Amino acid sequence: MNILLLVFHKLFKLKLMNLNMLLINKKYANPELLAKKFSGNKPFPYIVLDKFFDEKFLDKLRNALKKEHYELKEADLFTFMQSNDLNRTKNIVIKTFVKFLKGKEFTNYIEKLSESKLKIGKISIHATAYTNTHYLLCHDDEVDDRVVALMIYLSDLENKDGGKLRLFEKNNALVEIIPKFNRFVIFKISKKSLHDVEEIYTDAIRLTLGWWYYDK
Amino acid sequence: MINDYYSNNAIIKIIKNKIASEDVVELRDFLKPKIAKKLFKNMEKLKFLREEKLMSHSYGYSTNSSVLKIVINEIIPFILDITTIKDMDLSIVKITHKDYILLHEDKHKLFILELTNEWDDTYGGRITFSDGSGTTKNITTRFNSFILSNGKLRFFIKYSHNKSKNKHKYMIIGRFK
Repeated sequence: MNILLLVFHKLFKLKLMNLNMLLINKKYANPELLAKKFSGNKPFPYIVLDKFFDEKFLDKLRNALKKEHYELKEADLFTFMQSNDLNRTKNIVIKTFVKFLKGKEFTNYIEKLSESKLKIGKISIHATAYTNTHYLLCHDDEVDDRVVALMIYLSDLENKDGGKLRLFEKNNALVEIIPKFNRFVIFKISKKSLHDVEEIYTDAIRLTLGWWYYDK
Repeated sequence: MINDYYSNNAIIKIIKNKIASEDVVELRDFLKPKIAKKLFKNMEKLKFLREEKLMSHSYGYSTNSSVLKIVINEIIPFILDITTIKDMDLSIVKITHKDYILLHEDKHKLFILELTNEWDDTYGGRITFSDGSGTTKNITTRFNSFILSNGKLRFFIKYSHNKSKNKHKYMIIGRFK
């Protein structure tokens, strides 16, 4: 019986690992091909990849994240709802995904894409939910030894809703990214990585999963 | 011009003690009502220039001399009864949709005279004092309210969001050492 359980456990683990490998859209399988676009983008290195993850899995993840506990966060710079630290979630779908993001395989993928050296096994990760009047003012994300910021959008917004991620050069927003389900965004953190989240003007909900990788 | 209540020596002493212990004091109905209303009407007629610095602030400002003259003649002598002033920057600030002042690193003594009569703090735009470690003190917007800080705490003004469209919040702000 114990042997059977062990075999089942290993098979289940293997299944999860295979699932992880299949999570990324095949057209983005080669990070080296994306690296050139990433590093050449202005005002600072970033890339937007649509339909990045497996949609069925992402839908499950979205449903799981909706069940997490959110708290209103307010400071001079922002007002929005934030989940608990998802490194400590008990939800198996989120847990599996966080493990995948922290793992060697995906971390190496991001290393190659962003041409950075990243610490394997360490991320900060939260889900955020913005709704009417919520915002995040301009800042550079330079905290501790963060190297890249990543986010996957889990809801669809329209231009009229606001909530765009805006990338700035000095006082001007050069890039505006509208949140769309399964739109993946990565940018490199530096003093130049000025960005904000435009205020939400309607009752739309902007649900996002965001995380950072740290310096090796 | 200042409400007679605040020229009483015993009250000045209470204000001094409060500012020493809490750093920030709020004095309601600060100006005599007629003067406050007149000053507010002047504010509505002023031309404000826009100043937008992404990482610091966004607001309209004016340095109208007739308004600031009142401050120099009436408010500065009152402050001198409470604390010292070496140097002061004065401005008239108009907050409307998308405006804010972020928390600054520099610590200055500060006064703010609120001359807003149609503002709801649910619009944003509220003044908050912070010690930088998460402890904050929110000041509810009230017409003719005078806020004085001794500079240990830093202040910010919350982003004014879309519910504040077509509304304005006026303040006279003095930062001093």
